[in-house]
Amino acid sequence: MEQLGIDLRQIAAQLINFVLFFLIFKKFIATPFLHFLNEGRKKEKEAEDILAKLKSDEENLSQKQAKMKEEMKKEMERVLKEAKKEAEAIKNELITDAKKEAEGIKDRAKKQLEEEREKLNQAAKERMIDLSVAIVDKAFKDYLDEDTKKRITRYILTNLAKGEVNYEN
Amino acid sequence: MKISTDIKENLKKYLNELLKNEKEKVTLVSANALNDEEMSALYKYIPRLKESQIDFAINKNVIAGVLIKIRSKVFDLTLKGQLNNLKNHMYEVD
Repeated sequence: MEQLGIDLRQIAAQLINFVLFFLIFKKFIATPFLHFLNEGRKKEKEAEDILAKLKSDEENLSQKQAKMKEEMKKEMERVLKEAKKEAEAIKNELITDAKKEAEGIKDRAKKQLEEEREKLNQAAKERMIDLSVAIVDKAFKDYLDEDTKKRITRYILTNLAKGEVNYEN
Repeated sequence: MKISTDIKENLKKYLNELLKNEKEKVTLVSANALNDEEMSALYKYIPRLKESQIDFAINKNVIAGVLIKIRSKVFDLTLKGQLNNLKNHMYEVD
């Protein structure tokens, strides 16, 4: 063995060295290192999970937002439609009321006009009568001479008793 | 102050007697003076005129005829009165 250059003591020492090294390495380096790596992987996984959850939450939120926008839009359209309907109804009601009022005003005006016309007619008639009677009165005064007036007086008085002229206030 | 009933009654009687004895005042309005014939026609129509005190008044506005006022009563026998009657009737016609 010595002729081959193999030193058994050295090999044994190397082996022991190696075993010692392996044991120390395993206990003080490999295990903590592995532990550290595992911890890192665990943390990474956790971070990935959190990210995935956040992404999913974000997606949900966006979807909800979109849904809410859609609903709001629909609600606005519905409210607008109703408001338009109501406004139309109010407009029609106002127009009907205005028409009714206008008719009422027209009727009252017609009635008033008719009354005014009646009054004017009556006034004109009375004026005409007054004028006619005044003309006759003037004619009697101017064209009847004293003799004729006396004759008329005599006629009235003599026919009183006969009952031909019969008046009393 | 309360007046006794007897005194009231006597006063009334006395005033009525006075009124009876007093002549009724009558106003006669005409356009011209009336003659006897006309006056007798009037007396025939209103006999109480004979016992009344007549105040004659001439008013050319009556045109013809006579207007007799006895207290609150008026006998309008004038042409003017007739014209007024006609006017009032014409007012009533439609």
